[in-house]
Amino acid sequence: MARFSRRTILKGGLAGLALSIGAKIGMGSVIEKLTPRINIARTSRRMRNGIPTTCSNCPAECGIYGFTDYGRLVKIEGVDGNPNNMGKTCSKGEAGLDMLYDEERILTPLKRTGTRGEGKWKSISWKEAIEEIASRLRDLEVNEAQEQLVFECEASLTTELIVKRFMKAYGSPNAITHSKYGNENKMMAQRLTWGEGLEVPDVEHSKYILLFGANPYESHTFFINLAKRIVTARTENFAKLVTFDVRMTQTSGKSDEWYPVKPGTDAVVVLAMCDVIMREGMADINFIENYTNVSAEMLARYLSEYTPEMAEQISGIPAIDVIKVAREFATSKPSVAISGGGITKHRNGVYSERCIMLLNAITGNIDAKGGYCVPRRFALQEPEPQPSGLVKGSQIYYQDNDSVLEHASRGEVIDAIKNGRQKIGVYISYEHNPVYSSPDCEGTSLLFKDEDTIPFFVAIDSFMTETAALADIVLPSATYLERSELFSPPSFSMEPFISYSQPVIKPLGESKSIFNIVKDVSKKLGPDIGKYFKMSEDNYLQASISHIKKLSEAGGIYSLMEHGYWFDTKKEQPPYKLFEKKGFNTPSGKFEIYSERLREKGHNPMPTYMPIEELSVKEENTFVLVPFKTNVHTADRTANSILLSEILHNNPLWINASIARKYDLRDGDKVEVVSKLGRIETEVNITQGIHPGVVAIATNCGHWQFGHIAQAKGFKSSDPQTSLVWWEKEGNGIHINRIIPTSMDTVGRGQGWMDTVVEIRKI
Amino acid sequence: MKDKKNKVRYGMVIDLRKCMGCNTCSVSCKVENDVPPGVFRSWVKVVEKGTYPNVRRSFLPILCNNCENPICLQNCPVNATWQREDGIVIVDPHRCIGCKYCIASCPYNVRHINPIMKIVQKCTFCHHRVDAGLQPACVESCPPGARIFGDLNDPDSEISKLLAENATQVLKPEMGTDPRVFYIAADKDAMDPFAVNS
Repeated sequence: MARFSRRTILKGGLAGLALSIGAKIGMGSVIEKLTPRINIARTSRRMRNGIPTTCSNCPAECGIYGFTDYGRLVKIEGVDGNPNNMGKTCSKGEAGLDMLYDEERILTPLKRTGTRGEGKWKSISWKEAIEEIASRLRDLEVNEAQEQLVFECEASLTTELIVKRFMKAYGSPNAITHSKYGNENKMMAQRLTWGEGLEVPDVEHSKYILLFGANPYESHTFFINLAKRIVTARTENFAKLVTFDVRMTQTSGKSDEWYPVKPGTDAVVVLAMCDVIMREGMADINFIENYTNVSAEMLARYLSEYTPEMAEQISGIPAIDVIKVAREFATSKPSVAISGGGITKHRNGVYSERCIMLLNAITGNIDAKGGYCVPRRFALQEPEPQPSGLVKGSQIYYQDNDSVLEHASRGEVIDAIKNGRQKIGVYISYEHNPVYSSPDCEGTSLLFKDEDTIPFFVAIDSFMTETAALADIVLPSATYLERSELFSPPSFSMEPFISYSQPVIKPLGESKSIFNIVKDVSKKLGPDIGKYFKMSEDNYLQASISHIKKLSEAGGIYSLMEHGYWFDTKKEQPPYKLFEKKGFNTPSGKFEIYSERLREKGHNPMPTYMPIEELSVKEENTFVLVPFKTNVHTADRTANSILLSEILHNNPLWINASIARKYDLRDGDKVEVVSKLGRIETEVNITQGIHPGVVAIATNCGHWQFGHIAQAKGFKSSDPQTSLVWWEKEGNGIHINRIIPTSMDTVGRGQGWMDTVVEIRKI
Repeated sequence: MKDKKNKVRYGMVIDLRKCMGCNTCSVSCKVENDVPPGVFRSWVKVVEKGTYPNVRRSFLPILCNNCENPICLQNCPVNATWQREDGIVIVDPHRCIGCKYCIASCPYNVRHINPIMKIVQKCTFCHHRVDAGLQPACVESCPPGARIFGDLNDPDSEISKLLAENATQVLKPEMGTDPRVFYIAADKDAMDPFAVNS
């Protein structure tokens, strides 16, 4: 019998249900249409219909169904037809209801009554909150200092559109919309080289998958969308998976080969591989000559200095392995090399990322089936009337047209505020937690506490995060399960698609979606700004996709409401190698291995290996500290979920067994970890799966706000589960950003998360 | 396998070549079955093997085997545990007195006391979903599709084909329980009940 369930939805609801009881699964007629999906109540056996929406826990943006029972969300499952997640979602997605029904959610606007951070609040009305914010913004207007408004939000298509529109209408350029800390490096390297923000590895069709510092089985921009395709490629195409990583991650632990490389030296390995490929005539000369801006001869000459022997000396990977992997990679096409935070979140991240792109380019895997593909996605258009976009001088927004990134990196923004280069009148953060997620989080915490530097601070959030706790006013935001949004994640089917998020239930309490909050503020600020937000949320979203004709013909937003996603089904097989017709989105129209823009700014124009000083001069008893994300938590937003924190709530320090023996450490012993910024104490987890020169620790632990669960404390509430926190004794671990100092990439200015050198002492 | 002709007999295959230890099964099971904190009906055991740099990691998702010959059923003094015709083993919440005899007798340690209701519960292959023609929650949600559920008596079902084509293992075959959860490519050490959980 064919696979049942998903595609086998019983016709006629309950009648079909009765038929099937006791009978073979899957009997009954099949409805070919994929939506709506059904689910069944465990106790009452009532049929539930799924409301299609989109998960925004992480940037993978999977299509999900929310199943409700008497108006309460009870289950989340993936949307079958969604071209990326194909009916699946991860543990964080499944645990979305913990976030929605969090007992400690903020449900009314709050105003600080004590000093900043004291934790004394009073509930106020929306009217009062909006009036206070508007009066502060009007003060800035009167002083003609609109640029002193900074609005920080996460990178997501609709949120960016709304926030930027408001900021343009108000007259401040300082909408800080890049993704998380550290991603600037990857984005910069990608834009410089081929004009896109990130790559889509078409791993499903690959024969050889090479990972550098990437851990798709646990955490990646595309997480399960990428991971499940790697699994498919391995089991169905017998693709080989090879991982270079300092730590044995879930991915490297399941790879065919794992090479523990010295931290920060991946680039030299990649360049040596490129050298082998060029020298042995395995390169795609046609691609290099016609579609890149360097000649094969010049490239071969440039690469000849990076020999496998040199790579061995620097990275610790035997030359023979470098040669072997290079040969396999170049000959088992299609192949793809994928980078991850492990290499781009170093201070040489931009250069290293460019090396990975070079490896994919010289083997002719660029935008090829099974290779390293251009992201295919839709852009949203700014609906009419469009604000003029008149902006004043800013220290953190790049106004020159040739800058690759729109605004300063998050690290630079904090730095500019700290040093007084960017004056702040009003700071608004939306679902963003800089106090927790910045390096040197204690320093950042002091900055946000300082009322002279940040005179007025508004946090828009659903939870009392470390950042919201320091706000003057907290506005309750609707979570992703209660608001409308449009997404267009880079497509793995190579056919761009739109994914839609709609409220599964009405916003709880008095919480409001970001659109309605911004709308209220603009209305209060007067008709000059209010006119840009006159329409309703749905109309606004409809207008922002009205340029996609075929979607409008299919019913526009109403079609999305029904199915949750849309793509043009009538198109032929997706064409690869788009660049053959259109070229690349760079000044030369070519794949820029040589970057004139980097040379102009005084950087090395070629993909290169830049040694990181502190890491290469290693003294006795020092280790490189590597923070890592786990598979059940996002970077900072899931810690208050009982379902997820039960699985992972604390973070012992990973240390190599041979080192542990030297220090006489046993599992669970306490150590002191000292960096130049400070010290923490934590337990150790002794493992064979880590480079001896590295210690590693998980992120999203050690919260000091956010709620009881995030702090591993049980409490009495209307939900009996909140008093069953059995891991109270184990504690919630330690937040590693306390000892990670700010360290920026020389080119991309993104945080070098992996560059901290620490000493370990047994306590 | 006892041959019950033309009868459905449910079972599950977990293909560990595909498992990536993401814990989606653990969470979706908890949400679907309202399992409180402190106990799991399905979880992922992680085992690390080898010496640096030759190290491997293995995963082993564990759940009730819904055995053909369940010891727990024989031991229940109040007949709260019973087996359906399709083989699924169920605990009747109205009969269970929470004496834990079944927990003690289960070789797989997959039964637990619900800390709120104080009765014994376990994985039931999501029989409420199965009866409605749906897959169990963990199977439905498994991102790489490592879990396959279906009728063992139907030679055309995906699970029967997988079992016919691959070598499979079950946990503690020496107990004579005839488990109905089969593993493909399970790590021998991970299957050892005393293997360290990393």
